[in-house]
Amino acid sequence: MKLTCKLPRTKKSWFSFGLILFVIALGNWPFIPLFNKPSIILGMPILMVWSIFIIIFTTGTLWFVSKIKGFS
Amino acid sequence: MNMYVPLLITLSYMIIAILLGLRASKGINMNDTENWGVGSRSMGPVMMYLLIGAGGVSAYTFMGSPGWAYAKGVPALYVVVYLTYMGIVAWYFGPKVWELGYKYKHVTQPSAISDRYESKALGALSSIVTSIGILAYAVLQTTGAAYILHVMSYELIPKWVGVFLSLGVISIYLYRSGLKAIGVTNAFQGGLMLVVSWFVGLWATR
Repeated sequence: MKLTCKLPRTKKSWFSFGLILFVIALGNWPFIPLFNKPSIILGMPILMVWSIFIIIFTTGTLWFVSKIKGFS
Repeated sequence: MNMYVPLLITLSYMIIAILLGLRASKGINMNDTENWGVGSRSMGPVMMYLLIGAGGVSAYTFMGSPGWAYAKGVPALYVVVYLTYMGIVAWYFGPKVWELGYKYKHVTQPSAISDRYESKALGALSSIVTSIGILAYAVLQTTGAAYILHVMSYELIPKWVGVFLSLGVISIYLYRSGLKAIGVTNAFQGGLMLVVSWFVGLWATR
């Protein structure tokens, strides 16, 4: 069986792929050090607030990408 | 007597889990491998949501990561981020694996792997690796559950009894209802965690 890496073909697919990579980047360097600070927002450490934002943003992105069916 | 209230809640949780697990097989022929092993390949979106949520939250999340957060501080919260990213993997691969499994009647992970890569040796290897991995994970979970029972009972329940209790509860409903029982009890656990975490969170900020 051929094991090949399939790249996105349409503009929609590339946009979806980029969006997913962006979501993953939000939880890594260089974004995380920006929020890894001893400050409190809404009674929570800023990193916790950022983590909750990532949950919501990831859910929204997956819903959106499924909707436009660009990532397949 | 009040000191045993948390233990009573925990034991009630175990009894409810058994009852729910036993009821999960109602109307389904559990002598069929597909029904027992992969829950008839039919679980609704809400059930899947709670299942994945509760599946990602283990004894490690309850005890390991709070301990880690206590020792290391806020950076331990990255757990939230990587659990979220697990959802991306499930979202991308889940439907493909489900479709292949449905088409070729896969019931176990090794059978799916050996079909996909056309290698029985790889399937056999994955079954050995998965068995060892799952065994280690099961030991970790039951040890965690036994530790919780030990602490909640103010050391009345020894850890070895706790291991037998938690394994016994799981064995009863798993034997009877297979993956459907896991789905229903995990959904119950997930729903409970969602409600309790909101309740405790709001209560703590009073």
